Amino acid sequence: MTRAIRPALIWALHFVAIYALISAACAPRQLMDVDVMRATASLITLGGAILVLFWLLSAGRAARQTAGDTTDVVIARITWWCALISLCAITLNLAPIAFLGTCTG
Amino acid sequence: MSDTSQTYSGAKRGEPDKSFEEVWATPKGAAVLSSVSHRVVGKRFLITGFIFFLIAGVLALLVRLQLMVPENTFLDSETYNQFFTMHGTIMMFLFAIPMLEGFAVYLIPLMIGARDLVFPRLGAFGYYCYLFGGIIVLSSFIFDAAPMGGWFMYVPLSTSQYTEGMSADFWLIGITLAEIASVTAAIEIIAAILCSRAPGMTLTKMPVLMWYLLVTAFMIAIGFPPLIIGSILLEAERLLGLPFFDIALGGDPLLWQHLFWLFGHPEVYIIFLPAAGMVATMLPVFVRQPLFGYGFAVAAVITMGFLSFGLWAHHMFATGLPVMSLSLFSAASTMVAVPTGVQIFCFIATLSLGKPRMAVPMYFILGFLFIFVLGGLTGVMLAAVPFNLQAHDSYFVVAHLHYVLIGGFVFPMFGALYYWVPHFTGRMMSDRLGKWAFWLMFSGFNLAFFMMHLTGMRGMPRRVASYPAGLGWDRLNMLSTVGAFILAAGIAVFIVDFFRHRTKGPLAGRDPWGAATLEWLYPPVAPGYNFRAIPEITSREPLWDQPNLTTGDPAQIDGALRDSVDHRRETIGSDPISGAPIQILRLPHPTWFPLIAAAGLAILFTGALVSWYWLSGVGAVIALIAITGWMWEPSDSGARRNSGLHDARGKPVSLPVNIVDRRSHLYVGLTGTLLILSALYASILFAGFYLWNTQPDFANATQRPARMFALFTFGIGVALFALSWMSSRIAQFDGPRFLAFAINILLAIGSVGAALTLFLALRPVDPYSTAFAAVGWALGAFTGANMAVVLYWSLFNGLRKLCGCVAAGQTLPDFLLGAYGKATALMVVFTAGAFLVAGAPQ
Amino acid sequence: MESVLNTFNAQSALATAGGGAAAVFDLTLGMVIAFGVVFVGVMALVWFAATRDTPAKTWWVWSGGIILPLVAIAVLLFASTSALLSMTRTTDDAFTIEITGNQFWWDVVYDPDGAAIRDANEIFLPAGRTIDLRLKSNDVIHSLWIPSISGKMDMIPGRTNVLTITPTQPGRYRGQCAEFCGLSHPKMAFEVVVLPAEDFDAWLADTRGEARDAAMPELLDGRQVFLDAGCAACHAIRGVAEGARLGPDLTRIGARATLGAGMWRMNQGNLAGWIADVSDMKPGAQMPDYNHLSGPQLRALSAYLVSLK
Repeated sequence: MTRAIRPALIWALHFVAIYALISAACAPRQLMDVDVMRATASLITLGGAILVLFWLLSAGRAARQTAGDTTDVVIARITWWCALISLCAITLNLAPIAFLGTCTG
Repeated sequence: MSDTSQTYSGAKRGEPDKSFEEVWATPKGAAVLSSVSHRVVGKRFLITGFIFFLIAGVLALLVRLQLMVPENTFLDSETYNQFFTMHGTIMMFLFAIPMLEGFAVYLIPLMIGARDLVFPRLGAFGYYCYLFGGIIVLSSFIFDAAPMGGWFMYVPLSTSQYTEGMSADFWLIGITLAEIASVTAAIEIIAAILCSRAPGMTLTKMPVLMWYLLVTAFMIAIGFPPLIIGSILLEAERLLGLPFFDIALGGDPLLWQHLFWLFGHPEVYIIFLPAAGMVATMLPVFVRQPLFGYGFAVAAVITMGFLSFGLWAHHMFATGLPVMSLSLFSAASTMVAVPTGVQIFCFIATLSLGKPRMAVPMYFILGFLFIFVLGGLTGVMLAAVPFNLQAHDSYFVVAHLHYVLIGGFVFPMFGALYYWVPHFTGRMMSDRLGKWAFWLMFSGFNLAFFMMHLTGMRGMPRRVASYPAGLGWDRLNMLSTVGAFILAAGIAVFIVDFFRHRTKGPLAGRDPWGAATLEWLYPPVAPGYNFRAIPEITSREPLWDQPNLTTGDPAQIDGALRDSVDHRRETIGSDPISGAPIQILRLPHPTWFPLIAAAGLAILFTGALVSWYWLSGVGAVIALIAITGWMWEPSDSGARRNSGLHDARGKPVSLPVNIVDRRSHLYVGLTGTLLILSALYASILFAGFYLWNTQPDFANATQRPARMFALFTFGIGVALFALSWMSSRIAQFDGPRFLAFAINILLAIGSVGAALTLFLALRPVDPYSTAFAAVGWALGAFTGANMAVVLYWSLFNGLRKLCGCVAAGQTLPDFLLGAYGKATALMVVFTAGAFLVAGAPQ
Repeated sequence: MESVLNTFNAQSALATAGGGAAAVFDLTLGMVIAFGVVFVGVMALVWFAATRDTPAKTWWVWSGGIILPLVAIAVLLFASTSALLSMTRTTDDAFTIEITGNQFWWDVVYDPDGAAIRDANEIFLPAGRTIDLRLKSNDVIHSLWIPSISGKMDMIPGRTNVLTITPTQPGRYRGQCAEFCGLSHPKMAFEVVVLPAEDFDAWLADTRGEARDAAMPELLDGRQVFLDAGCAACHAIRGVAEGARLGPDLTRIGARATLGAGMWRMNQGNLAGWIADVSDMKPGAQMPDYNHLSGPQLRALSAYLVSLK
């Protein structure tokens, strides 16, 4: 069952990272250069997305294995939809960083 | 794993002269206040919550009367500000959350096949904290000190400089006390749903409402702490002068907003999800088909729970955040429409599976669909930053929030009340009056609030006691007021119907709605023990698919724990993941300790409110004594009893009582508690990082902690971790008693040591010098408070061994202390590490 | 120009007179139409599902729950981000006005880094030019909102926020504080006068000078009351009493169409009532009541102030 939550946990870690990166680059302390931040964010997103995509595909395979309503099949279906939604959310979280060149647009 | 195969006969006997029914009977008369049964506590939450709903509703009507015409003088500014503040505060904290708690507390054991929740005393304690906290907040009216800073209490307006007097303190202290109910409910819900399901009820066979409540409980565990921390910091600023939000000393008003909305946004989803779960429960009954897409819906609920934590700053779009931040939160806010949409479409798909019976709950479900979808769409509009910059703090937002809250929570709630009232009272409410109530509420609501979209776009700001004539808002406000009164009339019809049905309503037969879930197993009103024998479950819709459950006398159904050899209240404990029966879970009998403990806490909080710290001391002592009495009982572990179940070969299965390992309900509850503590700790850390990042000059100018003592703390923390680990292992394997006792003592000493060295590390830092310094002290104080708990707990466990009260195998307390000790030791190590880093010379 | 205190649409985001407001209006219209269609569609689907006999398929959940929201999100984010970027873009030659929120009035300084011309509670703007409003606060959080011209921006003590606006239409508009700031939050408004660009330059040059003070001898009594009663401790009048910043600058008070931050018409009677009993008109205001002044004193003082145009 924890398998089903993993994609959402990756989303959570990803979101915290993106938020931290934007704060690091755009807050008064200026910890990080914006371009460095954007590159890091893109890499993290790529990694997270690939991981979730992998889980998406394996859950899809598990759901197709047996028809019917056994616990494993239902959990696989739940995992698949969690992974799909998490994947969309992870990608969308990168959009502002991808399309805006600087903190102020 | 502690599997003492010796048949230990010493499990504490309950009330040997009482029969099964008598053991489960609710106390009569005034003693009912000592009842901890979930049915009683659940109804308490529902009734109290509804009363607060009516109070807040009356405040709203008074607000609308004032706004009915421009430049009205019905209420003066101060009174108006108090009324709208209290309306929001009561609705959000004293109505919505407790109401959903009431449904959860009442319904969960019934739906999962348990005799009670797994921590009944915690639930009762939570209720009394809520009651006392609510009374404190409401009593502010009597003292002419009602809060008037808005339900969101922005700083600097709510600091002592701009809000003199005690109004803000009533809010901060009363609400924090009431919030204890929310977090204790979260622990209860998580532990109950995971650990007390009927045999055969795997996670994918449990009713979908349980998924909704489980996710909601985790959201509460993580979402409430930021507000609790923020409230404590603000109250500390007001009472002690600590500069957390003082701009002159490096504080930041936006820190409050971040902490508040980190709570505030998940809060509205916490309110929405259980209501959606109730819709998901009732809708299939009225189309007589199972919910369409159980898997999609569960996945949508889980992801919604997570995603809702990434939206909070959309309440702060006008505060001057960098455009990149605005875009992040805009994107995240629109994204939550996806899981919301999945659920809505699952509901619509379910609707299509059969012709729905138009009973009263069905009307409210359709009303929910209409109103909530509209509200959700205006929410997506608000997620667009440019639009938000016009609509923020205008009546457009007032319209949106009422559409989603009333549509998403209140309408399902009324449907749920019509649906489950027969279970509470044994009688059906009126079909005719119910439809009247619905139509009045639906039309009144839309008239009142749809206009407000336009009012806001025409430029009317929120939270204004009056407005000039002729700007284009006059007629719209008048219509909104008329609508509000029509809505109130609908609610009045409901109340009339409720009282009427107590004597005149038709008696509800067995399963009056033709429902599928277990709470309808017995004809209403079900006996207090819920199930005479706990049945085995093979389907998600047990009453539809398992004929053995619906034919014949429910009391004769075969199942677990028909007999209670020890004359104790008990239920079956399940493996959290697989649902397989793994233990016999002992439950408490009626007791006064939760009430006394809550009263002690209320006295403590009241003492702080009036700055009579001696009173706080008295309250603390009372609470501590009550908690000690509450905990002073054998853990019952080490025994095995016949469960009444049979294995595949038909042989009777015996199960251990109160197992000592990670699958124990107490361990799961502790894990929930540790989640809350981690969230509290993380909130303080967040405050520190935030100030460090956005007020770098002040952070750099702050005095450094003493690194040597920080290093000592680090070492003690590592030692505490090792000791705690040993405590867990010895408990799990029932090791030598004297060793366990030694570890108790060492933990006690270690915790004092850690607190002391932390204090010495912080001594060079003046908490009044900068906001950053104050947050450092807050971090240390929080860690120190946890050390106090470790001290108390280890002394408690040691004392029980000394007095000979602990029999063989009863090692659960040390097992749990070990887990708590490990988590708090990590906290100590982390705090010490933070001070080591912060203490580095410039 | 007449005050727009009770004028329909003077404070409406739907009657646009600025670049920002117009961009938001277009976005709003688009969203209302698009989401209106979605809403009607979903409700039709609900009705269809409840009354017709066709059971649902998985693709309903797909299209309604995943595809429709994702498409809507993508379009919305694109449109709103473009609008946001265009709204927040400023120019090098933008004119700067610094506005500081107080409980419960607005301190306005034109060209703060240059001529630093101080005024209060009424804001003059040039049409067709980009203006950077530098927003600050002296006490609690306020928010500057002129719905006809642009979205709002909070004024947060301890930081400076910049709101870039481009008024397009000469005229008079109303704005209001949009962040709950205490007892008289509903009474913290202001009026905005948008002048054609050359007229604005002329106005600015004219207003920076000293007060057109006591043109007639009868008004000298009033000026004396002003100085004797201690008003200069909080209020500045250029050429008469310099330096005080605790209260609004009164150099051109008579020229303002409203009194009390956009709440009452500016005339001698209202002014006298304000001076004598401000705490009744605006609870929580920092200014004390001057009801110890005699009737003749109040009359003279208010006549003097109303003459300061």
